[in-house]
Amino acid sequence: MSVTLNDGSQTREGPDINTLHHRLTEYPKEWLASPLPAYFIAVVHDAVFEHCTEVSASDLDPFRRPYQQCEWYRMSLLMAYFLADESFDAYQFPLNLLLRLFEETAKELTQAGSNNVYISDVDRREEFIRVVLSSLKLRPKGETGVQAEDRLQAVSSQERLKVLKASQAAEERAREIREALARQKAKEAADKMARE
Amino acid sequence: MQQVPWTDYERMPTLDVESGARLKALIDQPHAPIFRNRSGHHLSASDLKALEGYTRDEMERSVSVGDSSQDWLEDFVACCFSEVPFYRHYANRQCPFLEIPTTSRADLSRDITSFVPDQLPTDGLIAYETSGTTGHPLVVPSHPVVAGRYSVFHKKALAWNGVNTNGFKSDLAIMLAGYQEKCFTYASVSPYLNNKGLVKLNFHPNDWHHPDDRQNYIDTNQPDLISGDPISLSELGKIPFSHQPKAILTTSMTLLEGCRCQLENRFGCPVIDLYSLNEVGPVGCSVPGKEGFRLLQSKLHVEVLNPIGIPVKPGERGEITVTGGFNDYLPLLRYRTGDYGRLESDGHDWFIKDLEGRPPVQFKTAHGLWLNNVDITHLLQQFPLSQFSLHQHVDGKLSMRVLPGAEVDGIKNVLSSKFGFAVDVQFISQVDSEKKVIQYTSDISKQS
Repeated sequence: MSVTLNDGSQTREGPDINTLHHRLTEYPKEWLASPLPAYFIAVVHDAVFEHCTEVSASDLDPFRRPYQQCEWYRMSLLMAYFLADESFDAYQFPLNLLLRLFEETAKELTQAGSNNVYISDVDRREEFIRVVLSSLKLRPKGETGVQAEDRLQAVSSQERLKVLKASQAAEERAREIREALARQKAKEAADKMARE
Repeated sequence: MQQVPWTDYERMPTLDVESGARLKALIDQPHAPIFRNRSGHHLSASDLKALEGYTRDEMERSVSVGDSSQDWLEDFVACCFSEVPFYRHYANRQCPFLEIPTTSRADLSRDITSFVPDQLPTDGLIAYETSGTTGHPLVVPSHPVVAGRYSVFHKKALAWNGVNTNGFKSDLAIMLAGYQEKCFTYASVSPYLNNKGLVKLNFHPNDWHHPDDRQNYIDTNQPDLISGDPISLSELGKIPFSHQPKAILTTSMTLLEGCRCQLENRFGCPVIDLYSLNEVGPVGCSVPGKEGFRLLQSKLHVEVLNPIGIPVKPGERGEITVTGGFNDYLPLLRYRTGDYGRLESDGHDWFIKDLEGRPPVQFKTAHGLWLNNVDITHLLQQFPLSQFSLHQHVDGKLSMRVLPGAEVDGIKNVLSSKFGFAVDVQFISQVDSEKKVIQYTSDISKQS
């Protein structure tokens, strides 16, 4: 199964990739340690609001759950820090792109590596940067859409490609269950001796 | 063309000639109700063989509670972390059991699909819908094999109350009684009750050709068991049939002692109260001579937690929280049920006592004394109320809603002498066992 990463033709030019490498290497050490900062939701809110003023409080409900149930919050935090770089200041994004980045892309990246890996390993750092840019329909400064897509393919780790495939399978599975439940809701279930 | 129910091999794959004839007799008789729907057990011969094994195993195991080092629990938790999408996102999947985060109905409601283990097939999936009173409607994924397992725990509850289903003589083993304007009704046969009949009936007159058919049908078919909620059973009790079943199973709502006595007197048999949830099935049942619900399941770990998720000491009150269960399609890890109670042992068995289906509500007396809803339930135990609600207004006055026929003066006296505030009692306009009410609400909070 081939994994479609993005359609390179629909991207805008984004920040310089060297600037973004530098940004990641300066990630605060205290945010790598447990526990997650108590002001995590505020950081995510500010990052989203900076790039989309249409966000409402309830849009951020997925980020208000206990961290213990959402390991991927660490990746959302890294993304929020990353997007706070001044090279992104001029960019506005649709809300759904931002929310998908902070939740779904964060989950995928988390399953393929830790924040530490994406910061300290130069190849994985490049992968992180290109994945985030691609999710926001941006390409690194000076690259064409096709170049950006090729380079994203080239730096995509086996771990992440595996996760992407698994994610697609999981989405398909969830859809299948949802449809099966919706079909069954309209029918009778099966006998029980008493109701709840 | 749809087949008649007594040849419906799709819903009842193991239907034989004898049980088909039994089913036909239950449906095709002069006083029969309008059967509006169809249902069946959907179990194959191999499913039934597996259910027999499950039943034997479950009957031999002791009930699961208290100690988190039980043999099955470690494997169950490991399986959740490897097979269930929701739990795979947990930050720490190696922590001790008591540090595993709790889950709630809101988690299930957000995306129930993420709780279904990866490897389970979806082709036999069935869905049970539940609206609840918490604002989180839920569709619970299940499977006919899981529905069949309910019978194991119902039989266990019956056995603990001296009723053995193997001794049933009637062709109608069980009658599920509802009292609703609209109700899902059907007739079926149950392979786990010796292929005897199982009917789900609505005793609202709408579903009968003539109101008198209701008593005639019961007296003709003589169901060994009757199950229902306190409202439908109370309504059923008003119908003048003379048959005495072997036992009554009651679920869904609080059964006050007054109501239990009334039902026992009317039906002349044991009334077994079940604490059962759509999410995990039967959790506990009443047993003779004991207070509370004796825990039923051997692979359902029950805890009682305080508001921050720490287990309280045995006997202290908190939120009932469960892990495990027999629904393979909904493995639950430290699931906060939204029900409150105390967990106590009598030295041999474990019981949930003072069960209330909602978070505690505080009520204030005119003397400034605070009472909680458990105290009110104790006060009202003497009245045969199948459904009620109590609200306290800002000025302390109390509004109670009860079904017609309740002892209004007695209730007023008990409440007004306890509270020192005026008590207004109104009637709930329509009896309908489908409409659950929130029992206790107050405009006064202890902090104010």
